[in-house]
Amino acid sequence: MTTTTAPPQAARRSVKKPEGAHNTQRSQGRGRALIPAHVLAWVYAALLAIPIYYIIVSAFKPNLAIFSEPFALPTSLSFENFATAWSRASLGTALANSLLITGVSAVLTLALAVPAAYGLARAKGRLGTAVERLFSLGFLIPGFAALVPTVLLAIAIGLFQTRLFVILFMPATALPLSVILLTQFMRTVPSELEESATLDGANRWAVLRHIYLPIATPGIATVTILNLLNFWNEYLFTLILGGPNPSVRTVQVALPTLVSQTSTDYGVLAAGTLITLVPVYLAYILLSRQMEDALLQGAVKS
Amino acid sequence: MQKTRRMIGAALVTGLVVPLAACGGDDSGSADETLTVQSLWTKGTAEGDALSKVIDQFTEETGTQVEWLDTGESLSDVFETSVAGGSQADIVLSNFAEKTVDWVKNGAVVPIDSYMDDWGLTDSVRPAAVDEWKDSDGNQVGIPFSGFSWPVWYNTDLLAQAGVDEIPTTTDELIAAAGKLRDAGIEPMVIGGNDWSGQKLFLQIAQAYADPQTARETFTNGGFCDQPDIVKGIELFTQLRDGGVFIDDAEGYTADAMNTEYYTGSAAIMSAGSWAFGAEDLTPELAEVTTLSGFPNPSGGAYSKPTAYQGYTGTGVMLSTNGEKKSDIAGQFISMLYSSDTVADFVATANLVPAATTAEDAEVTNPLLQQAVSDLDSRVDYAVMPDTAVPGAVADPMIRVTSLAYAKGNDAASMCSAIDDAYASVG
Repeated sequence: MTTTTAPPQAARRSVKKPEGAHNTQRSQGRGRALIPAHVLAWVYAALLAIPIYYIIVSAFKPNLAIFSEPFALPTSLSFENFATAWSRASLGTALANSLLITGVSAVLTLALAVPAAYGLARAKGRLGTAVERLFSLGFLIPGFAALVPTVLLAIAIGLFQTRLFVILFMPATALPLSVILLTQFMRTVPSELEESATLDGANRWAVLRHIYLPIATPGIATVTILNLLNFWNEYLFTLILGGPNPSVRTVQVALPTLVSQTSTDYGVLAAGTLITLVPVYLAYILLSRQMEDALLQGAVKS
Repeated sequence: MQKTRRMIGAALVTGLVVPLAACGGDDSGSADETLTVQSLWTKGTAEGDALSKVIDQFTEETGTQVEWLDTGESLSDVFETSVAGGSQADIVLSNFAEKTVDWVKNGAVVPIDSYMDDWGLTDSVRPAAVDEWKDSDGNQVGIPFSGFSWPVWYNTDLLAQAGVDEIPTTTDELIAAAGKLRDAGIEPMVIGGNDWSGQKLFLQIAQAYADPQTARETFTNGGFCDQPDIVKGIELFTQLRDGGVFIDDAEGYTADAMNTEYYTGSAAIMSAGSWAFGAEDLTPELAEVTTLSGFPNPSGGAYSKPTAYQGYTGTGVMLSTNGEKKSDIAGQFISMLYSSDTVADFVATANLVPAATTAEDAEVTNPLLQQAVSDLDSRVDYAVMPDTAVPGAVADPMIRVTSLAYAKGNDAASMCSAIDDAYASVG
């Protein structure tokens, strides 16, 4: 018995042993293969982290320390540079203007893009295709090419260097991408759902609100994040169309007033930059969580 | 949950839509009852603080509100765009260089000479300074307010440490001094090779053998390679560069980095203007051991003494077409700006070199400004200031060329050719 049972056990062991060794070897091989990916990931992380670290430590230093020991930790954590940046560039008013322009523009963009995307997603005929392509053409217009005609338009309608024009202009620049992205999201909604709702008496708005919007929430969150970042960081158009008036200008226009050709206080400039980064960073953190939740919801629903 | 959503919705309407309705008003403003002043000077700087005092005083005395647009470095772009919309500021305080030079020609501002008479300012400003604010057609673009002195700074302590007892006055002495400084572990001359400061020093050396008229004509029209004296000057630049006069990797330095190298005692020599006399990072001890002089001359050069720059194109007052419509009130503001008390305050607090003659006895408290005002004229000759000659459109491409000039390996022929290409590229 022992002689008859032993060989299979031994055989099993002898079979298992090479398998285990093979798995270990395979995982070791896979681990080694992943080393370049790890290295690249850390290098990429460093590339992102180093400038942020540099701005943060510079915000607490005087000019001499910034130039002589750029990456050294600050010797004090005084918030004097932040207070100076706040008062010199009137950042309080500028932040309020940026929040207003960015917020209203983002809401306006969604208010226009969502119905447009719904219509395009459900359109079957050639007209729908043509309109969708028309939106795509918006990508082909370079920003600089639009600058002069836009200035002339603002002057012609009497809204030059006002916040209102900037608020109206921002959605116009964002609509092509927003509509195209949302249209793709809405095309994933099964038409049976809409037919079923329609049979139950739901009108177009009810269908949009109760069926399309919840399913397209990931797309809406994505579009909102993209637009908020673009609107907040916009410089050239807000400088030209909004103008230099401290009561109107945004943070991106106010911040460069801290720069001087002959003597720039880089500590104050770094502090001002950090102040302007905080709101957009917070918005990103909040919306990115919503976007992840929405993505999960979308996955369950689909 | 529903209630929360409604509250959020109400907050959105109140916070976003209601302010939107308020945005339609004219918030760009050059309203009739206010005077709009746009300046390169920004709040929180010494010049900005001095201007702020003038604005407060003016409002207090006249009851006229002043809207101050402290646009800083974006001034010319913003002002020109505002002109297109008819919403330009009434008074502009800017330098006379690049775009501003053409502002009377293109209608952005009005010739101001007749207003100088009306406001009684003709005798209040140095005639030589007034001449610097004329364009090529003879239009008086603005009234000069402040000028600058642009000497070479020598840290005599560091020179002495390296065994250099006298400030070099010839380029041979400078090369010898640079060698001694390097031997002592001290960088010789620091310069912002990467920006305008490097360009100015390059052109200062390039005109070392050329008479002022030749230099001015060449700076205005180009043709560097066609002027033997200019080519000789550029060859001198390469000798100085290869002789180790400039800090290592000078082509990567900016003016701010240059200041830091000098302020920290890492470099013994720099070329910087009077705007740096009051820098926060300049310690009284360093100011005390700093001697202002000029850039050394080569033998056979066009000047008998080391050269420096000076000028009155630093800041001036321009009147826009909007400002012309309220020239009375604009004149009151500008007259207050040129009053002896105001000018004296600018000299004392912002270390400005005044173009006005209204404050000749203004107390100069800054030791370097004092040195520049009282001693510099006897030590230097003044070279042709490039800003009044080099066309604005050429300035940026020329800076790209001069930044490369500080890197070893570029010879005089390739440099003058590249500069001429810069002139050709803008027509």
